[in-house]
This record gives sequence, structure tokens and C-alpha cells, in this order.
Amino acid sequence: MSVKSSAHLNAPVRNVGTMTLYFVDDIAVIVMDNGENRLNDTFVIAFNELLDDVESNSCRGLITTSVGKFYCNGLDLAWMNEISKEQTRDFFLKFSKLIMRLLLFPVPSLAAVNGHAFAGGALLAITHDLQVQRRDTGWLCFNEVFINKQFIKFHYTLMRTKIGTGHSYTDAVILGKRYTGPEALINGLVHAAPSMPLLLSESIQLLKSFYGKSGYPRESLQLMKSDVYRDVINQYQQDLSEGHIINKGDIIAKKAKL
Amino acid sequence: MNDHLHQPFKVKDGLELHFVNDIAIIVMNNGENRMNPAFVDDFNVLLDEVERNSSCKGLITTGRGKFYCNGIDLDWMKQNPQKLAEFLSQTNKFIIRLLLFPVPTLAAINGHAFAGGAVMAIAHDLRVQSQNQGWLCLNEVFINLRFERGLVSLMRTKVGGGHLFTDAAVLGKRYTGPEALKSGLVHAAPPMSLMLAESIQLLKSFYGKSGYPRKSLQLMKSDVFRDALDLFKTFSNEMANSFTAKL
Repeated sequence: MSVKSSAHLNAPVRNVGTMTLYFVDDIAVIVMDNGENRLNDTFVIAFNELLDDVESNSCRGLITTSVGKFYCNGLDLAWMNEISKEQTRDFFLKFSKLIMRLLLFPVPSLAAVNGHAFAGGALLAITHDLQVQRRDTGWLCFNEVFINKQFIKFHYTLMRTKIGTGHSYTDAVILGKRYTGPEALINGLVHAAPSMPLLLSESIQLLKSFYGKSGYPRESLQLMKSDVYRDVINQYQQDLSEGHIINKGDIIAKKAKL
Repeated sequence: MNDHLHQPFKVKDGLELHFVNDIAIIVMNNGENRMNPAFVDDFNVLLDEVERNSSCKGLITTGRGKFYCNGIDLDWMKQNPQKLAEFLSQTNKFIIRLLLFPVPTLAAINGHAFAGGAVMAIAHDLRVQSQNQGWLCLNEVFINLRFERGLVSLMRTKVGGGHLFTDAAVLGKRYTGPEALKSGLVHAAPPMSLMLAESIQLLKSFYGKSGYPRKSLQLMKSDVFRDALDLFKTFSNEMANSFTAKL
């Protein structure tokens, strides 16, 4: 059984499969504990259920993290190899919806990147408001270019808005650069790169430094995110209506079966 | 700087193509290396060779002496006003070809890169600039030239937003190597003697052992620069007017 980095936290409030929700003061902490934490239906369902719990609690911030070597290593391609085309399409629709939900979440969100975050896992991390990455091991990497994959259009808009344009963006997305914690910090991809024992406490401190004493008014924060991420929302809706998301599902399904 | 390299694989007028292991190096060796139809034609021939070499994993372009590339050949333009529109279209295609090149590209800026030369450097994936000689400068604003919309979009994606972009494009700021490094325009600013070695090392640090799958890299570049490419297509002749005014 793996060592939980959050063993010192309060007792878990809820388990859904291998995902656990804790509350530390007024901060919700979701801990993934499923090896590479690959993205599949089970992941999306569990994550959404715990996000429901977070939303219905009066907490002021959300941290997501994992234990061990991986934050999240991307799509569960082995699982996609087993399922039908319809199920793959359905997954991509649900996962895209989850990304948008996280992007516009009504409390500030922080990804405490404890280990490798590749491809879809890097996308998940970057969708949060803040990122903190462990200093001494683990890479943050949008490696899609190396594995012959492209992003859906709204992903580019999301990444460009989050990372900024300039060489940090082009290095990360076109050239699939691998970032250690310190490299990610220098390039503006994360806010801090503490050593592992301090990952959670730095994350908590960083989050609190943003939301202050009273936290953000939830509706205000959500509206502000909608305004700032207007381009992402528009592109997402266009991608939905023009079938780009299910098209991506088809492409991945086809490749997974090769 | 390149005297220790192998003999060139191919030479087209003042342009040399070398292969150093799995990296192609194009050396511009024609004074200010100004861009005119002959330059672009020759460069394209060498780029064809690079693409044809399937074991090649990266491309470095550099100059010899005081200049990387000092921009468009205005003398040629004055002498050939009737060919202006066609040449500008050809130059745009060239910049776009560099932008979408199927292996990672690095501009080793050995000396001055002004105006069109700076645009050319920016069209590469990576830039390294000499620590102690030469300026990188988009000085179009000082010489009554404009950027067409596709180019503005390209530069904004490459250079970033904020004051870095506006200093460089609107105010035509001149950057030494160290200044360009500090502002994120280039990845490294080594002394001249280390330029090539650093450039090769930097390029390799990105493409790793196996290099990028070429089609994948090209698609990723097309996706990331989608806005710029659309604008280049839609507004393809805007520039001709400002150039005409200069003749």
C-alpha cells in the first residue's frame, strides 16, 4: 500500500474508489491514489463526485494532488483499446466537460504536482488557477508532439491563456519540453517548487495568500473566470457543435487499437 | 566560426548547407545577407535538401561575420518596383515555411538581425544570440514599414504579450544578446566562440534521442499558429502599400 502524502491530514471525508477528499481548515484536498492516475471514465466520475462535495461545502479553496511517482500520466490508452468507439466519444465529451468545470470552478484551485504530469495530466494541472510542483523529481510535460497527437482547438486557447504566449508556450506545446519543478518555476508554468515534504503546506499557504481572510465571493469568481476565459469557452462551444471533440475521440480510439 | 565543420554538402551562391551528425546547418555568407528573390530561391533549395534528409533531426541557420540578416534588399526593390508584390508574397511563403518546418529550427544570431532578418530569426523555434556583437531589432517602425496582420499574430504568439512585445514591435527596441536573453527573445547568449556548440546542445536538449516525428511536429506548429496562418491567408497584400511608398 502506498504511503499517503496526506497522512497527517484530518480523516478523509469521502472516498470514491481510489480518490479521497479531505478538508484542511477551509481548503478541500482531493488526493488521487491510483498509480499513474490515468484519465478514464472511473477517474472522471470520481473526480466529479468529489467536486460536487467541494461545491456544496462552504470551503474557500481546492487542492488536487496525488501520492507517489505520478500526479497524472494522461489518457488511459490501454482502457481505450478495450472499449467501443461510442464509449470513447462519450469519454472525450465527459472529460472535456470536466476540464471546463475545473477551469471555471467557484473556488480557487491549485494543482500540487507531486510527480509526473504528462500529456492529459499536464493539461489537468494547467487548468487549475495555481500550480505548485515538487522540486526534486517528476516532470511536467505536454508531450503530445512526441506521440503523434494534437490537441483539440479549445485546449490551445486554454494553454495559451494560462501559460501566456512567448517562448514558454511554444517550448511547452510545440517542442514538448519537459520541466522539472525549478524549470517550470523559471518559465512561469508553476508558482512554486518546494521540496516534497513541504509540497502540501506551501500549497495551502499559497492558496490562502490569494483568497485572504474571507475567500472569494463564489459567484463573482466564477463570473470573472468566465470573462477572462471567454475565448476558451467560445472555442469549447464551437468544438462541441462542430464535432471536434468526438472527432478527437475517434482519432484516439483508432490509434489506441493499432 | 564554421571553419571546423565538414565541407558543405551543398552551396548555392552565398548560402552553404552543412550536415553535422543529425543536424543541418545553413550558413549565410553574403555580407548583409539581404533578402531578395535569389536569396529566397537559394534558401528554399537548401531547405528542400534538409527535408529530403530523413535522418536529419534539427536545423540551425546562422551567418558569417557582422550580420545574421539585415532585412529585405531595398536596393533590389527600388530597381524592380514591378516585381514587388510577387516578391513580398514569396517572402511571406518563405517565413511560413520556416515557421512550420518539420524539424525543430534554431537561429544562431551571430550578428545584426534587423527588420526582415529579425522576423526570420523569430520564425525559428529557438534563438541563440551572440553575447558580444550584433543587435536583434524589429526596426520597421523607424523606416516607415508596417507589419501585416499575420505577422503581428505570429510575433505575439512567439514573443509573448505585455511590454516585451510592444517594446520590440511598436518601439523597435534594439536588443543585444544579453538583453534579448533577459527579455525571453532568445534562449541563450553565449560568446561567439561557443555559439555553434551551444546551439547544437540546445537543439538536442529539445529533440532528445529520437527527434520529433516530423508530421506530428508540423501539425502541432500549424495548430499553435492557426490564427497567424489564417490572417496571412486573408490579408495577404496589405504590406505592398507601405513598401511601395518607400520606393
